[in-house]
Amino acid sequence: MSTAIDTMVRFEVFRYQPDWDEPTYQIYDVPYREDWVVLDALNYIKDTIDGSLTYRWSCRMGVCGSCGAMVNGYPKLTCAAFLSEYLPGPIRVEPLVNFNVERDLVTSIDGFMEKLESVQPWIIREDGATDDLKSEYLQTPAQHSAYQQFSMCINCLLCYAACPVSSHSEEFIGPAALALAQRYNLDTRDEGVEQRRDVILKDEGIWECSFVGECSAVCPKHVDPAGAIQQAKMTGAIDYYRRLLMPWTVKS
Amino acid sequence: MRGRSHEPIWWSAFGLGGITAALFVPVMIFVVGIGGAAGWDAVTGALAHGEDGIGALFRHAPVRAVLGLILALVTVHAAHRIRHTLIDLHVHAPPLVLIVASYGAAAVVSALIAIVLALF
Repeated sequence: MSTAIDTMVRFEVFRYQPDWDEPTYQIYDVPYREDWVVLDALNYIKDTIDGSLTYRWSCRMGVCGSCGAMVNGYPKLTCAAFLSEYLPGPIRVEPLVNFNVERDLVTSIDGFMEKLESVQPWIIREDGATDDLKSEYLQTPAQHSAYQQFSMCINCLLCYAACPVSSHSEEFIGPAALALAQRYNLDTRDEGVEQRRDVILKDEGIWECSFVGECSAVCPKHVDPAGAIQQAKMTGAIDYYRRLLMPWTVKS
Repeated sequence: MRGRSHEPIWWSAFGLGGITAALFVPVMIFVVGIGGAAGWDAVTGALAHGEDGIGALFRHAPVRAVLGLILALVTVHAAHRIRHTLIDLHVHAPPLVLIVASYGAAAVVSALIAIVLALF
């Protein structure tokens, strides 16, 4: 049971509707409960104070990745941001930066979906065997652990909000998509490295990354996209010099 | 390959400079800055056959060559970091201008280091 405390926490919530000229911040006072997270407070606001507040959420347990927002300027899953960490307030809730706002805390993720698709984050087989699976593809524990960490991504996009490169380059493929590309490139069942090469090895792929590392710092699933990009840079640099110095060893 | 980036050239120089900075610079400071300056026999004696202090150390051409190489690589490392930091801070300049300015500055600093070492 939640512990009711006779105190209120002030929320400053970013509000924007498509027909408004300017966004604004609206003040809400929410009762403090020790076991409440920011998402609980948003639900309280929507249920009891202002039904027009718009935001995304689903699982409220750090799995679905839909409730990301800037909480006091830092990208967080609102379901994992306990009010107790922000006392005495106020708590400012804004949509994730580096994305266009559609309404209140809801951002447009169309650009990300295109980038995600461009790295082909699925297992590619040269023999097309994924269309007609007849047998298992066995993998040792070591082969599995090589990519397992990068497969934990829930596409919450906190890493894009934290990324300084995403703040100035709309074309940058970005942390989550590059980590997923690396996840499949490292998978022994996959044969799609060549197909992903052009997207990953251009400037807007891994090379725009300035290795600030904030993507890994904010990741709620400890995916370490910065590490994935560094790994890809190493193989990308070897590939570059091989094409430059020994072009006869390269297929395309 | 279409749209291939030439950033690996700068990135690998940056990586080499980073490894140099992490592995050799602390040792260099310890040996030259502390040991040499304090006139430790183990440092000055071994290389200078009993001559005095840090000056003796630098009269050996190989010492100056290695020192110059280490400092040049660290300078390139710094230039790359500064270039990307400027981009992250939204300094709007054509990419080529930033490349010429940052690595050009590193080349000038490296050349000055080489001159100082050559005249020592």
